[in-house]
Amino acid sequence: MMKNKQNLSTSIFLAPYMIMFFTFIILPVAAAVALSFTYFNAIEMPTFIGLANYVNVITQDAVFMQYVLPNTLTFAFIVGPGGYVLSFILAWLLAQISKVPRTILALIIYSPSMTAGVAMGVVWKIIFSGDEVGYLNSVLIRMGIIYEPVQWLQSPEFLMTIMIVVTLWGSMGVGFLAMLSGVLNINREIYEAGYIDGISNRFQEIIYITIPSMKPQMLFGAVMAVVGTFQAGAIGVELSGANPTPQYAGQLMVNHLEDFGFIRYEMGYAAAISVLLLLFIYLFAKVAKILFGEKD
Amino acid sequence: MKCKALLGALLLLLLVPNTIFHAAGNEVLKKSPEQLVEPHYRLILNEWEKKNIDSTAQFERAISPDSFENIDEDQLLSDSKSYGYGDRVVYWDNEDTVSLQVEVDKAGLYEIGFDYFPLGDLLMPIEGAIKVNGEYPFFESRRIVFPVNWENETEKFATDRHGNEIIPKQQPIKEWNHIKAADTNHYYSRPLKFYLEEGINTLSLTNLRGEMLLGRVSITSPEDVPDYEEYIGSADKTAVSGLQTYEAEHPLEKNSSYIRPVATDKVSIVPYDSKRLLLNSFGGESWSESGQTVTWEINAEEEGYYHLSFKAFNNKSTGAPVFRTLLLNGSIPFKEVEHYRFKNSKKWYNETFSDENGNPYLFHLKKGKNKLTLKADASPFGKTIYTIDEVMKGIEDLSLSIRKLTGNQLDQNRDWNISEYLPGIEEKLKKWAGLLEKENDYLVEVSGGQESTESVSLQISADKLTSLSENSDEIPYRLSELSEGSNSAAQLLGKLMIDLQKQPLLLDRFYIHGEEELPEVSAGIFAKLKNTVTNFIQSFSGENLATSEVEEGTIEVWVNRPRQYVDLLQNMLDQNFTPETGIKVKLSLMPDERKLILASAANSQPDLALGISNWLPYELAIRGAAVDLRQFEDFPEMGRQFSPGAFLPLIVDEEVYALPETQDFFVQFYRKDILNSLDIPVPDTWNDVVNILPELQRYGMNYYTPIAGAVAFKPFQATAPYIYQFGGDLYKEDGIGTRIDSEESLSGIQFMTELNTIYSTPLQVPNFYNHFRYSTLPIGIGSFNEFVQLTAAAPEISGWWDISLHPGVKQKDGTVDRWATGSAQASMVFEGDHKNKAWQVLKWWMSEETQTEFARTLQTQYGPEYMWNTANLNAFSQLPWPENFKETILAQWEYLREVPKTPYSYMVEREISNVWNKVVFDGENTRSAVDDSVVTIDREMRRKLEEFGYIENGKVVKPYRIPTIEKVERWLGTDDEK
Repeated sequence: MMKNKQNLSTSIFLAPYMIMFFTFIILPVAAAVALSFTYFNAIEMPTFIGLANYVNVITQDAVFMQYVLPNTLTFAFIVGPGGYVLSFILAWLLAQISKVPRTILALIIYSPSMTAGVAMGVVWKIIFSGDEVGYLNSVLIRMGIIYEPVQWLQSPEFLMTIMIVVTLWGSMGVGFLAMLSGVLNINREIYEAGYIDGISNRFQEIIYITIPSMKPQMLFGAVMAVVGTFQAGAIGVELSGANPTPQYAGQLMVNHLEDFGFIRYEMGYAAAISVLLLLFIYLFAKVAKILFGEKD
Repeated sequence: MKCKALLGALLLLLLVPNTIFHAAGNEVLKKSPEQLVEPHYRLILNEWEKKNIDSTAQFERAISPDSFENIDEDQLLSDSKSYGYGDRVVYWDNEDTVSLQVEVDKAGLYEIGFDYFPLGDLLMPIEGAIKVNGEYPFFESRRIVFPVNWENETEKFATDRHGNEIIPKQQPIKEWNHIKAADTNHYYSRPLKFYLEEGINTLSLTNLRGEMLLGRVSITSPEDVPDYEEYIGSADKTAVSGLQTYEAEHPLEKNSSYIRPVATDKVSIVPYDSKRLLLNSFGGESWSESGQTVTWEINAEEEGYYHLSFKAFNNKSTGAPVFRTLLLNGSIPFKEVEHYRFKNSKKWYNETFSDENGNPYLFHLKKGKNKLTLKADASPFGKTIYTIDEVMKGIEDLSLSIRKLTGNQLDQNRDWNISEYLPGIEEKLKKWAGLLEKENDYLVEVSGGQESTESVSLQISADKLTSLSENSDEIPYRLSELSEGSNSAAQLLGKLMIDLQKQPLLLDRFYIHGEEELPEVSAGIFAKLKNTVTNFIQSFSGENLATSEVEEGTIEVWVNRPRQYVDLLQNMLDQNFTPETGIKVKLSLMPDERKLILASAANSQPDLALGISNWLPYELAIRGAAVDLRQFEDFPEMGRQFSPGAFLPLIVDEEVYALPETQDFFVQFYRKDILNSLDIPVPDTWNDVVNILPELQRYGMNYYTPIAGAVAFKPFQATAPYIYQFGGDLYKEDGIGTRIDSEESLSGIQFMTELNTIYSTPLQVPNFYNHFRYSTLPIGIGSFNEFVQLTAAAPEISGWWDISLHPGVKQKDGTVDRWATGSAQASMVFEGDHKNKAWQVLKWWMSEETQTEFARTLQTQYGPEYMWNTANLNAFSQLPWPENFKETILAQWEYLREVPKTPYSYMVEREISNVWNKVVFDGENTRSAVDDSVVTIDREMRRKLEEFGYIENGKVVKPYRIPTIEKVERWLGTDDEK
């Protein structure tokens, strides 16, 4: 009797979370998985076609294999670890200075990640604009380095690099804040003990004390970085102006997904890509966990 | 040694072209297009003053139409047809010229007045030109406007279905008017003066546009307006006591149809209702052009002197005051109210007409009805605007000659000795700066010391010119401060000039009163608080969104257009369509057209959708969510009113799924002034374009194509015209595969890329309109969008640009193929119980009458920039646009050819864009890039055609028929006419 009552109150307290989690996470994911086994043209009823979508992704989708996958991986391997290491270095550096400038600088560094991709695109589009009034072109022409405006955003050569730079600039997000608080929360006495035990420089400090003591924050930052980089996609389209990007030079998985979903109206196929994306993210998050997780 | 030789060669190179350019530069300075026409009135006025020519003693003479010369007998109408004029009148239209003789006793200055009765639809102003003794005396006499008064069709404001008041329809008042010839811009508050010789003078009046009846022409000596002291006399006058209130939103008449009542959502404005929008104030932005008058009728119970107060609001964004001229019964009572200042304020205020010390003026009203008129007045700035205009022209000429001198060199490290090539340049700049500074002092004085961005930018421009004059050798690479770019002196001045002309004033009500206190301007704090709370509560019950419920049997229409358009259309439906047919229609705003796809999936689609992109109907149709319009019997009759080429993307197999609604056009825009001064002909074919490019590029200018306007992805509108013009095609006739690898298509693609690779036209131009104004791209292919921008927002070059047909490819028979797309918006019917009724609504909406009326109402209510580019060709030819533009556009539409849609057309579009990209950026060979693309396209084609059942297991089971213009013409029954 007593136990039942207790169960009931537990359920009631859990209910808001469970309901939200179910409707906004479980349901869409389940729907996506279900749709990925169908042909669905966004208007007519979906028809079940088994694994055909997945087979097509792997065997027939040349664009996916030739451009999207390599692009996504290049992008993820540079922006993910790059942004992650950068976050940590900046967090560590900020932790060394006094409170007021630290707060101000932290806010400045954090703010780009708050602006949505669209707003970011607007700013960077002016800088990389392809006529002679674009900021970068204008500066380079003035310095006599180039004579004709360079098509930063149209030319496949530059697009990916620019995407990476812009994303790195905006990658100091929640992960960065978590790391900052992680560095700040380490007990100073541990360092002192470390020096007594023979640590001789700051680098050893970082390797032997700082990082091990902030593993949870490091893990959180890593997972956020993985999710963030795979989800990023708006930036390429935003910079070049339309989906698809020229010669698929900046095509990431999210763009590919939108291409199939909203340009070709093949929702089932798009759902299959989104499931693959989910698997990728899960896989890489797992790796991060192995690297930073508490082993107990 | 090598180094020296190189240096020597360089020096030689520098010397040679400069001398050549020098000569060319001077010539251009001499030959500005402005000098082909007469000097401005302002200059003539100054001249008269210098020569001491003045008006003569009181003189008045009216010349009756009987004695007009140079008219046909049938033009002279008898009294019975004169609409009650009481004399014979002349029917004046179609560029007729009427001349008449007038004898004056003394040489001097006279004003010319006309009696006239406006005829026709009056959407475009009636215009004429006056010659005196065979010559235009000054530039302004080339364009005299005969204004028409407009009134509301109904005095009471009607309400829409939500209880909001709607702007009433406007109708011209057809009555006899009298006007004295005035300048069209109203930079002078008084009528124009003309110099007449002693004895007999010949006046001739040429019609430029519109039609009207012309009555007597009167020649009078200029009237003088008394000042206040004269007006009031010496006797001690007191005001008649009593307070009369008039609502400004109910004027008797106005001389421009689009000065309109405004719903101001503010509790202190009378009348006000928190539940619905009432049109409770008048004017604002719609009443900002100089010369726009609004007249109210006021009633004085007894003859006597009254005070006059307006509850007004002027927050012109530049912070400047605005001016109004007050007229009582058609004339200015005294000089002090000729340019009366309404100060700039963030709040509403009561303005009692009074002198500088705050003593209110007295106005004499006769017993009974009086007419009170306020006229927007920019004439205090007339002089400033004129000076700015002159300086701007000077700057333009100067920068053109600098460009000719320096060519397209961007090298910062090259030194120029500019005054050697352009002597006097420093003095010139200094003189301009001085002129501007003087104007600035005047501006501050006129504004009563109120700071405004106008005077600030005037000062900045003057400073820029001064700084340039001090470092004149740097000008070649500081052109961005002089004439190019958004922050240059020329652009600042250009914007300033527009700002100065605008005189917006919003009025709530006005009072005729004695010494009484006026009612409070703002509502009390509790009234405001109460209103805020009610508004908040009401915000939970919005009704205008696409998702709200409708009653049974109502046709639901989703419209992807701004609010004004939807409101106007709803009113037209409620007033004209529903009473006639009994079909109820509800329009809803649809902010995102992609909602239609989701709505169709959820089976909650509307019955009809308007204003959607023309690719959307196809996507819905091929997935079975649209209604074939050819099943309706009267489709051919309806469809004949459109360009057959516009249907191509709306067709699946043998069915048509939508009607074109608006239609875009791609025509060639060019700057007459620049092409003239560089002696460059307007190109007709792509060959001509290629021929003029070297000359343009020598001056750092270029030719714009839509390729540069598109972002990295080049859509069909930018790429397909080349393929079609070179005789190529995009698809095979059976629809199974692409033909972009055919010889003709290839040469089209080749040329398209060569324009960028060989002829170096620009690769990226985010805003053609700006470059066109800055004259860096004085010629290029633009669309409706540029057309509206240039007509409405480029006053500094108005009259100096024109449009011509899209350049094309010369065929063997000598004709030029100018195929271009014209994709704009379409309207479609959805599956459902009401599809017959929905078709009826669509038919009504796209009919010639409705489209014409919609276009007219839009422009009469909201102003000339609200252009409606209807796809209905019959309606288009009746639009109130300038005739020559309309002719060019209609001629271009003969060559309208949209790209047909296929299930895989996005892939063709994408691959052509990629081919361009590969050739231009990676330097790949066109043919091999196209061959690669064909493979990709074919793969996608097989996949897609299999999806829709045209191919099964790699075999074609039914053909996919690509629509052609010929086929559409056959359906519409127009093919045999040709």
